[in-house]
Amino acid sequence: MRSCHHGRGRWIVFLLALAWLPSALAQSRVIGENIETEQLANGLRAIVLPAHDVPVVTVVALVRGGASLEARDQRGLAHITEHMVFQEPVEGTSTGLLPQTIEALGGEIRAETSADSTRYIATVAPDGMPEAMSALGIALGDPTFTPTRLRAELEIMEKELDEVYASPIVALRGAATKAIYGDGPYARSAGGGPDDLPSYSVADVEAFHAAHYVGSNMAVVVVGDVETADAFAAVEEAFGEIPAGQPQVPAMASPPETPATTLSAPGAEPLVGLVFVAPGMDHPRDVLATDVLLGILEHGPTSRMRTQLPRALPGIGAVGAGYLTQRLPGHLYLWIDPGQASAENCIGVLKSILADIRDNGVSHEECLKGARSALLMHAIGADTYTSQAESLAFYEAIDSYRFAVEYEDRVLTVVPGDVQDLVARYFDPDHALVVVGGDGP
Amino acid sequence: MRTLLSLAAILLTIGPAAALTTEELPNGARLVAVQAPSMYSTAYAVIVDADPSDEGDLHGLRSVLARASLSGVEDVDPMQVLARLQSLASTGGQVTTFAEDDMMVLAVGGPPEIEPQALEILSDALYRPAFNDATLESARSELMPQAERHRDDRFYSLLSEAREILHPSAPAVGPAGTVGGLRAIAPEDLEAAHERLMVGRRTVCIGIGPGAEKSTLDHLRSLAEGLPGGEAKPAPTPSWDPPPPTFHARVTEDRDGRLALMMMAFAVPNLGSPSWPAVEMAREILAGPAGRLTRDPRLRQYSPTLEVFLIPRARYSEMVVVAATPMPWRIESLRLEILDALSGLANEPLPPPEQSAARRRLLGEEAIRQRSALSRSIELGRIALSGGDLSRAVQAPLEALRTVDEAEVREVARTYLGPENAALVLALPAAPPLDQSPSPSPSGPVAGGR
Repeated sequence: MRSCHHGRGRWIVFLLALAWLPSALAQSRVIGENIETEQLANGLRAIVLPAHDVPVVTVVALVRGGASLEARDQRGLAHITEHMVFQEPVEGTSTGLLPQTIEALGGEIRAETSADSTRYIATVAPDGMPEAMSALGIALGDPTFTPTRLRAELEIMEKELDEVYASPIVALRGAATKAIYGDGPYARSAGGGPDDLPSYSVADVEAFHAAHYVGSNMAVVVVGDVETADAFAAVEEAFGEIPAGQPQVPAMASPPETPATTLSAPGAEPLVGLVFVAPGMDHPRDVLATDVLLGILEHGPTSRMRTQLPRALPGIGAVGAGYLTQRLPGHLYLWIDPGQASAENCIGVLKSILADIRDNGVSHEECLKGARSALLMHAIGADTYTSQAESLAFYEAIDSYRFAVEYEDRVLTVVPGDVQDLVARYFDPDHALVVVGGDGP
Repeated sequence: MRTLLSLAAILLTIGPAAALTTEELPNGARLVAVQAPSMYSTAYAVIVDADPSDEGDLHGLRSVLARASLSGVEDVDPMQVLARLQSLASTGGQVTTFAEDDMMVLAVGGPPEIEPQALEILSDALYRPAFNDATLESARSELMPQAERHRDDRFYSLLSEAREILHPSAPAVGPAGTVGGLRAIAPEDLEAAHERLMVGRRTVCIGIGPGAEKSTLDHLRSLAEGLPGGEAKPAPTPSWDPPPPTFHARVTEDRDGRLALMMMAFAVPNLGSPSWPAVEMAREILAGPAGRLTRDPRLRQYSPTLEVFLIPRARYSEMVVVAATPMPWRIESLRLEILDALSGLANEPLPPPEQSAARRRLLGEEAIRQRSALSRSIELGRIALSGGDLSRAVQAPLEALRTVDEAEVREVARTYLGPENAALVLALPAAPPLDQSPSPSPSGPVAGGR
């Protein structure tokens, strides 16, 4: 699942939507199957999904690896490089090539860096696609980095990061991820920390770019009102000259294990919760089962957390759960705003919910409901050509775009035994990291 | 008996190929169903043909009505209504409701799974709204800050004055209404307005989704066939007749501002007119990144703040040039420079690079507008109300922008943007000039006589 984080709410519509889902899917697929791919000589993969209902095209140029490829002394460098590439200078102007080109085309562009990739996402009219692609090729393939620009971008990023790190929830999650990953690729925020940034030079950025912005480490996804052959030609023209380089694959020294301890995070959000190491894309069926488990635990008014927690713990506030699919093992977290309840009781009830699934499993009906809710979340994230392109790029960055296409078929094959087995292997409540934010119990 | 107006399921070989079906019900309601199978997204919109002339003295009535229709349902606990909307949001759906200058909009969009709920919400708004003190107050409290902002905003004050000159028969009141108008509205007014405005002959219902148009059309029929026919507004002008010379100038004394403001407004063809792409092109050439008005060094010397707005409407579209200057004595020079630029657009050849730059931007902006089913459904409603070509809007939405040529742009400038067509409104500061005053206040209220 690309992201799962849900607040409170009433869920009548949710149930109706789930009941209606199979007939809706019979009419249309979330992401079309008429995708074609082509690999350039330098290893870059072009993925094209032509669709002609609206006259718009989204191009996502992605660089695999993102922050997870940073060495210990390179924290934040993927993010800095993204900023510098985005603002690839145009002589005589203060705006970068990408924003300048896309603005002239009346379109939209943004870029983002996560643990697993850096993505540049441009949306334009079909007529502007070749020009947008060309600008992306120049900016990503042959950028010019200057000390003046680096200083300006570092100032911008410091302000961004100060805001991020001021959030109490970031402190809570930061403490949990550090406990799980230690010094591993996912241990710190993908954006880097405020202390990391000032020490980098243009040479550092150039070296990072040269190593990672290479054909064998990149892909371009095109979705929208284009002919496939035209899109391939534009990708070849724009990205064909980029050096092949070496594919970059992040690795963990050893698979992380959930530390069965209690972690206090004073000053963080006053939440209590459980955190576990969760499946990465090397175990795709476990990824799907985790999405289904999330549906069972937290999605909808009849989910276990939303029915059992308020009954057992009167006076609690919001509850929630989250799991972000990543290339390497990521993490699952379940949390409660304890309100009037004690942290110990909250943790106890959360653990009992998981223990029940581990020991007694789930019914076929409950499993199917969880699968349908996972599918609904997948569908919500693919409602425009832009979001379809983002979904394809997200999975291409950590595994293959096929995972996005096949998701709706595969998630419905998860059976109750998969879920029970998953909890026993990954989310055993007797081996949980307990996190207590705020003043603690 | 229903009249099948058109069935256009022709897949074009080039460009977008969404299928369109339209129908008119016996009660006059127009239905527009679009199939877009490659987008996993659905939107249903009810567009009501109503402008400020339908509000009487209760300025803001349409905005309150649009909001209150969705927030209260007869015999249903308000908390349940709220919960329904929250639940819709949690499954990726969204509801939007507002009034524009010439129409009211009630629309629901999201993944196709929300279709039954979207239709239920819209049906309740059309047939079972509950207008009471609570729903009224909720809508009023949302709108009041907007009405206050507009009252205190010099741009809106000037626009209102310009509209009085351009369209004397249409009340020059913004959709948020006025503070006094909003305060005067009672639940009975909402009931009466609902009965009068939510009628077949004023309504266009649009459905977009991946499912077959027939199914979408069936849903739209169920939604709209129970509406009373009611009375239609006079048909919009499909092709704009050149307005009579309307040059007027009004001068307002601005007691708080320190900048002199000038607004030059022109009536232009409406959104549905075949000339609309040329109007958009003209605006882009005047005010885009390389705009003749916004980038002209002489003009910038007089007025560091100069903008050109195109206000697309079903009946009374306007192009508005707004300039602010700290040198009130230069206002006349500024006016002449602007008219000179407009005259150049009307009479001189358009260099191809300038045309190309404007066209590229317009195509992209239109593509972005078309991206989501919800915004597309509302845009189609606007086009339907203004008498535009829906087939072209659905099946070849960029074609007119691709083909609009220099002659059409010149013709628009000649016909509508001449000095004799301008409504000119000035707001001159009553306070000492900027360089003698310690605290400039560029957004102070307009006061004084006309």
